[in-house]
Amino acid sequence: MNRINKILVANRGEIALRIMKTIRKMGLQSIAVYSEADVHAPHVSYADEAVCIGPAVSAQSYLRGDEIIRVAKEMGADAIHPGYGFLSENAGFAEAVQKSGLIFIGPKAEAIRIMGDKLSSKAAVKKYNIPMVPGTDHAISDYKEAAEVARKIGFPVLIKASAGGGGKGMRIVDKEANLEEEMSRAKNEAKAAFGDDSVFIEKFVSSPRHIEIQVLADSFGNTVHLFERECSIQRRNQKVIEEAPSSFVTPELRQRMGEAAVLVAKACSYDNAGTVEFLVDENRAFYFLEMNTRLQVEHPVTEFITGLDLVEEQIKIAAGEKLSFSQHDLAINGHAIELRVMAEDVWNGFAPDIGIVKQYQIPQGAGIRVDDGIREGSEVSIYYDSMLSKLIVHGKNRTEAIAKMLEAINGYFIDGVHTTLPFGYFACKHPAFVSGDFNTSFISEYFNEEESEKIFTEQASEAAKAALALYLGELKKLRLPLH
Amino acid sequence: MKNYQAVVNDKITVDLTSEQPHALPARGKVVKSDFYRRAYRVRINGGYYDVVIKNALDLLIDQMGLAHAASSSAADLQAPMPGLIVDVLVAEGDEIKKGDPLLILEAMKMENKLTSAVDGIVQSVLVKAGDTVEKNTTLIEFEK
Repeated sequence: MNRINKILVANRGEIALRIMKTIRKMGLQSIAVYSEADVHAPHVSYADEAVCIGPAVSAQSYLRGDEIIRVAKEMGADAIHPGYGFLSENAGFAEAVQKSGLIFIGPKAEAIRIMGDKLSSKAAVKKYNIPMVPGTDHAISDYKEAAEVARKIGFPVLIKASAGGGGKGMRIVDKEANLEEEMSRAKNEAKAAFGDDSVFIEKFVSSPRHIEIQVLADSFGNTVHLFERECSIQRRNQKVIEEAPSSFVTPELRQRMGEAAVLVAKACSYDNAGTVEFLVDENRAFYFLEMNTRLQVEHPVTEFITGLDLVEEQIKIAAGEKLSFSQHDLAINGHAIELRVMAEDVWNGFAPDIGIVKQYQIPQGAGIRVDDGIREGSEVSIYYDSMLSKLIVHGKNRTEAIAKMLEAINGYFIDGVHTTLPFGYFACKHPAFVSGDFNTSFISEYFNEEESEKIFTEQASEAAKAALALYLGELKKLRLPLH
Repeated sequence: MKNYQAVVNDKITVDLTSEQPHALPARGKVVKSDFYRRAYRVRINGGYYDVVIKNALDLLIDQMGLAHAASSSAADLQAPMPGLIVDVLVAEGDEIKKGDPLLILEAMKMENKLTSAVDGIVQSVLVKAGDTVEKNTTLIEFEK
């Protein structure tokens, strides 16, 4: 057993705060690190101690592994929790943390290395007969080779950053004429986001569902799965709404996917929390996509249906404890849905929005959870990704969860930046979402430019009427002549 | 009955009459109001909408075209969102076809390729790689 008393959280925003809450609940101490732009951020004021590690630009602050390890040592931390994004899937960082004598709360560097590279991950799981989408089995940087591969597997193809995740550096190419340019964009994005510009190409399975399995593994070889999360509602290949369980997954499919996910974890001797992502087609055939070797953004839906605190489990596993339950102790309780609240203008193609949060009210009630990293007065800047918070609801079934989500959206007020809340409202009212009959083309099908314009116009007219009614009422009150 | 127009989010214009608000009770909740500027922020279904009400005088001024006298040409490239200029793909004097990529704007870790809305010749490039720009900043001007 390794004693963990003090944990440095190498992240910012909602996830840093969420991790610190569990640290406090367990009676442990937390250290925040922050950039100059985040001096007043909630994760800084919540932590027991906080250290500034550099300027706003992530490369000079949140991505500085060496500096973060130095601070952790100096402040007497026992462990580092990386959260998601930033250094969470950086094998070199995990290794450096371990070499420095600290505990990395996550899997071993070797597992991150194998799964972090989409090609080596495919190679690792191959021997377990896990189905995979056709594509390249090595990284490509040469355009000619890319074109050859794309022609062989057939357009449309998907270009992905080899080191990637979170949809960054990802491009769908539907004809050869666009391949060269899209490839150079993907490489640039990959370089900027991960410092590695190698990409690979695979067949683009059109309109699949994106369903993932949460796994937990201790360092004694015990591995369990915590069922699936349905993550099909995406824009720009990034998730917006997730839920658990998936209404598309039958008990039989759940068992098969769960078993496959456990094998994937075993393929890299995984320990700690991880997620195995699959594409599922309309015939319920599933294909291994990748394994995310960290806590996922959408982990709260799994927490709601299993009653577990995944961060607590992560810390216990890192401290060398055995899992306190086995697969047959786990059951699904009710239904949970998460909406990612991002600073984006949904009526404008989900374009990022920035500004100051002038008013902030969160919804409250049983089965409503808000994981946020903002407060009144917070500045939403261009330096970090657009996620402000996550709104998660839990009901005894899917219908109840959807109703609760609508109620919670109406009770959530963020003034000063536009958010994805109105999109959440739209989705929860949409017949395809309500019936459960949707896939990854939900947004392009039902919330494309034309459709969203219609809804916007409708709501803008409502807003205009409400404003005019108030204006005319005020005019009367002031007894000014109507002009 | 009076005629009004409302501009919502600087994006669309809605025609209204003074009778409509009473005929159809609106669902929205006004969260901010500025009576003298006739500017209101209305909350509906999780989002908010900024409404500016225009009266007969405003409408007359609009009709005379005075309000638009100083605005830039529609063809000029403006930043659709705040962000960082990653790359400028054209130079002054370049001949551009509609749809040609003009520059790359990065916002919140995503690269966005901005393309030309018109055929034309680049008159001036007002930004360079590394610049941070606000929404609606004019980035590239075309010869008129």
